[in-house]
Amino acid sequence: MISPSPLQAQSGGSTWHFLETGTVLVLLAIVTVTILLLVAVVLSKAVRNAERTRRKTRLEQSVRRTLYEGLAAGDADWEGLVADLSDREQKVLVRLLERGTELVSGSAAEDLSALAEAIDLRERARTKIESENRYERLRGLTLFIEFGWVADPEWLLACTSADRDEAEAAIRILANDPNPVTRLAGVEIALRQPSLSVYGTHVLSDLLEDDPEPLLQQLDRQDVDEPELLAQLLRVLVHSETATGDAPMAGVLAGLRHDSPIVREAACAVLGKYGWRAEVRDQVDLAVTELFEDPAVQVRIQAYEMLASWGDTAARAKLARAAETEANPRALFTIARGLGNEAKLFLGPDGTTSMEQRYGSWREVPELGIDHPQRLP
Amino acid sequence: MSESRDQPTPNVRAGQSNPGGERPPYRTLVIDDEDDVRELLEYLLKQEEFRVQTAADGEEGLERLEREDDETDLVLLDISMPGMGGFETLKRIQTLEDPPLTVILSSTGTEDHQVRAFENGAVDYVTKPFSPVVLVARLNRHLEREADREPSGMPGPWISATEK
Repeated sequence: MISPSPLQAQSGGSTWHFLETGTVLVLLAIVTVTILLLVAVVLSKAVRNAERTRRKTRLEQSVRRTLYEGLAAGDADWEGLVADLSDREQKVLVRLLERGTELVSGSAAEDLSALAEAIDLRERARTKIESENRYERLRGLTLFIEFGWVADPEWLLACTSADRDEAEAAIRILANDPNPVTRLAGVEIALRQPSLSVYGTHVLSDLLEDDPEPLLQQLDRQDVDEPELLAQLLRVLVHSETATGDAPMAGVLAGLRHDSPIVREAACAVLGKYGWRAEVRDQVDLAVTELFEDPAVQVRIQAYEMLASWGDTAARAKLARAAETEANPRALFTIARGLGNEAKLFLGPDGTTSMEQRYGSWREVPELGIDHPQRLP
Repeated sequence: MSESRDQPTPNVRAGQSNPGGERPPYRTLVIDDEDDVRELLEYLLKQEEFRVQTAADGEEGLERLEREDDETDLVLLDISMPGMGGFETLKRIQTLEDPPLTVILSSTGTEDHQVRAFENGAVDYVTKPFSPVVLVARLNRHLEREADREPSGMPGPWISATEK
């Protein structure tokens, strides 16, 4: 059993009894005043916040009205108008312009872009891109993207750091104005990276969509060390138009014998689009046996896809040859698709390729006047 | 909710036309939870002589449409809104006695959303970012077609001819 403490004993068991009534009252008063002070502080903060929000809303409405009226006027004196705006109002205007680019397209977006230029936003964005601060650089790049502005490729190349986000944003800006110079600059920026994000691959594809030759030229040097980047660049070629003329293909062909299966696979995917070039086919012929024996099934599948894309007699003959040794069902399915109607000549009814299974239940039926083998009932 | 003007005007749904032969000032209700979108649309449509009301969510918009004196011709409706979402609002609009034309204005342009919108009674589906010029042309076309319809809501002449 626990005995009461001396204090409890003195106070008849209650821990509060040792305090005199006066002291209790003082304590209560202190607590009450503290609570009241806290309530007053909270209330005054709430009132200040409400007032700030109200002022902000009023400010936004006023700037919005100015913006809309200016846009409606068409030939508004933006520079004069902006000169009258305070710093805060200008910030609101920029925010509204940026938001506007998310909401509208077409001529309205062009108007917003022109207005942003008129208020010197483009120059400010350039300064930001040239700054030492990563956040500022990204902010500047974002403004260029939002307003669809074109940038000098040389300048952009010089300003863009090794940071992947910046590099991809720069490629996105170059895609605003696809031409041989911007394409080359975009490829150079991409080559500085160990790999691209999905976004980066996407924007590079946008830039090179109509003409991938600058990338083929770069790959021709065969100095991309990172397999992931190389595979991504090859994938960009898959999604671009086929390069016309005699664009260099050595870089892609070298990919067929790369150590990395993702590169070999991507190289096959690209070459599927270039079956019309005799010298490319000759080079692929030299590697085809290795491809059919590739330990990575995805490489073999893509090699079969490549031949299926070519689709002529010589390619189908190679597919037929592959069917004799291929054991993977998915790869066999790819071969069957590539062979089309001829698949039945090479594959058994269950998709197997052993001679006995393939031909065991099949027989020529010349008496029926049927040229192709038919399965017996 | 705000209203640009108060005086009564011809109503497309009642088949009325502007006595002067000009396009009637169509009444439009913009339902979108984003201030920027509401205010931009309000400005754009007013420029084109539309009468514009705005509502920040589905509940507020429906409340307006359910009023006895409401004569809204067209609703521009966002899909992603807090509270009553766009699809639910669209369904409820269709249950009104004389539902206004409803055009969806959404950042999501998925096939599924578009089909769902049309199945629930939308007459058009516009994705953001949109061209204001094209949007106004589309709205005008929908409203003109609606105004051309028989006030009685009878089928078109090709069906009437067959029935005769």
